[in-house]
Amino acid sequence: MRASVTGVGVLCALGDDLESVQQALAAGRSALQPLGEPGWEELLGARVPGPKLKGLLKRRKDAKLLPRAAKLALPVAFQALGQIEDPEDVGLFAGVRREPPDRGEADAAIAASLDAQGRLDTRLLAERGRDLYPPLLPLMTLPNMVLAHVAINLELMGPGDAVVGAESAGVQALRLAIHAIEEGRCQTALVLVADSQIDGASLRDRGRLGLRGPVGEAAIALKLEPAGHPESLLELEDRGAGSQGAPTIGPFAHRELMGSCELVDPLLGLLLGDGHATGVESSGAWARVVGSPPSQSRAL
Amino acid sequence: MRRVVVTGMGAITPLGRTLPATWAALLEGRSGIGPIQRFDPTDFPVRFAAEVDLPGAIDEGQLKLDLTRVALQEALGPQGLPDVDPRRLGVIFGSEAARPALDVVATRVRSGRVPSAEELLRNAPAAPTRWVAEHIGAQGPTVTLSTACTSSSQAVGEGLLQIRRGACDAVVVGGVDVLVNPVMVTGFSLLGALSTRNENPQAASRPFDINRDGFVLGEGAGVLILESLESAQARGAEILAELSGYGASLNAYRITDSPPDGRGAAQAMENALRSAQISADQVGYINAHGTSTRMNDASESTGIQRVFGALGPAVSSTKSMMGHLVAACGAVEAIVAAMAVRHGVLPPTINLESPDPACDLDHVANVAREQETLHALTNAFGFGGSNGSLILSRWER
Repeated sequence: MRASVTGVGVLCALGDDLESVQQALAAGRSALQPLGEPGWEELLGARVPGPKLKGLLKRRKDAKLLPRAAKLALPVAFQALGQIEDPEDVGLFAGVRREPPDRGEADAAIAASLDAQGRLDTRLLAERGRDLYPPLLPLMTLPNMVLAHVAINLELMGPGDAVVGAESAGVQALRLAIHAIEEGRCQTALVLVADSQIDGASLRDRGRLGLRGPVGEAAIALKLEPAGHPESLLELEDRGAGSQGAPTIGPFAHRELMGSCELVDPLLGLLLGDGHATGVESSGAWARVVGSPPSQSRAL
Repeated sequence: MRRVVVTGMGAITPLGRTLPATWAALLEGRSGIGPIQRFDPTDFPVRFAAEVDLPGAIDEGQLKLDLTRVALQEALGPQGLPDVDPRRLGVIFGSEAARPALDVVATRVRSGRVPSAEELLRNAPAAPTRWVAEHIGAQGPTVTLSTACTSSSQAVGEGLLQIRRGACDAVVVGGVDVLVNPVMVTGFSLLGALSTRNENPQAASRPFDINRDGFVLGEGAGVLILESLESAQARGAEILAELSGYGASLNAYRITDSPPDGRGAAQAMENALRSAQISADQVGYINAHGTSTRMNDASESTGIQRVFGALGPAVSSTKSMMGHLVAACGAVEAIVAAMAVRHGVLPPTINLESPDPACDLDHVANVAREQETLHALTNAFGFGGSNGSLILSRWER
């Protein structure tokens, strides 16, 4: 199973396109700095400034619905896809982390619903907490919101799917897109991986899982078309997936400058010189795609 | 193109802990919806749901794993799995994260204390997928898809594609979801998505009826064993149905609203027909997504009319009895469609007293219909605009 990469979008703390990220890496310019999150003041991380969404949303009022990962995803989706004639035929495959963690959005509602002993009282939740509950919260915490917001704002109507999980979700999404192209279910596919771990709740969950060290946030989008495309920047080949016998991953040189961003790291590795995107989860589940230069001269 | 068949099915739903129990209730037109038992809903705007009777779980994450285990055991049944290379045995599930137990959230709000990593991992959307893979010794692809109400429809469809393209010889596919808790009832009722027919819960889910007022939260799990036709025939397995088509699409419309013209739904159904290499007039039954919300049912009806014309196939929504199983509905309703073609009888849409003129379809209204059907299509459409359609076909030697 093969496909050509014909467009790329990248957004991370090192830059807002592939060229600027490559330049930052070559210069060894670090984006890491103390995060300053309460309880994590000393931890190093690399935030993405903005991002600017002006002109990207069909309905401005949707901005309040966007989770952070979707805010990162929208600019790279536009960047990678460019101008296309028939968005209705474009497939969209997203790799996303589990639902955003409990960031405390419902804390006020919960706090108002505790009884004198500090236990949650559903009667108080119905009486007092309900009015404090953010009505749009269920929509912001669904894992497929990255997929949904990008599809809506780029008017993409082809086959779409959201792979959810940890380190292999982005590569799994890339594999689904390659299959969709190879099997003729769409002529163009956009692969989208976005991940943000820089907030108190995410850092708390990373701590619970024993993950330490600098942390980043990033999004990447790849436009895929049938293999051997004349505009190919990179030729991809699916090398399978499994749940045992994982191949080796990394090293991800960019992590030293922008921290870990587990979902996006394998795809950044593919673009920045490792030549493969390999995601391996703690459970042993893995997925792998390798890249090679196109026969034409338009390499990355 | 490799043909893909179903050799095992299991379901635990608000209608029963086994597939035969669920199927019998569906054919009787019996509702599984009733007053909420899991917590005291007295002061809530919505006080009913479609709950599963499976006590003992300490939280939602554990209940999801318990539901998965029950459905998997039934699906494996006496036939078990084919004896394939474990590296060519995959697991694909549709699921969402389980919500932390409310007392856990309350403890964090009160004291800042956070629970263990085990709790976090148990509640992860991929937890059921990982558990199944470990339980059956699968070493092939393990994938968790999460597209809200479309999740497990797409999991079943991806399983079909994995076998068709030769990446796997067998795939265990399914979906699971648990949503009946005070916070989700609060959240969905604030969105105006839930029926508020508290005085008569069993009449609350009424897809395609002009007096419908929202969906009913449900929960459950469904599991199917998919394998290549060669594999099933080589081991002499009883084939329950053929999974012959899968189509997906995106609405690109709005987060919660369905497009009135039904375009995304129509595109998914057309893609499924193309995948199955059949024409629209060969489909005899549609198990509709049919949530009982005003917008979904009208949009889906328009989509069905676009694909199948004015004289389309018989249509019913079993959510009228089971409620909305959200991430699990696609797999469970694929099983229902397989049962319909296998047994030649179509389960009804109950509570369909006054069909909405905007939903002008050949409804299987209120009572089951005996009808030999070669191909059945089942739809699942999700918040955010993801659409999935599957085609289950009667197995004929």
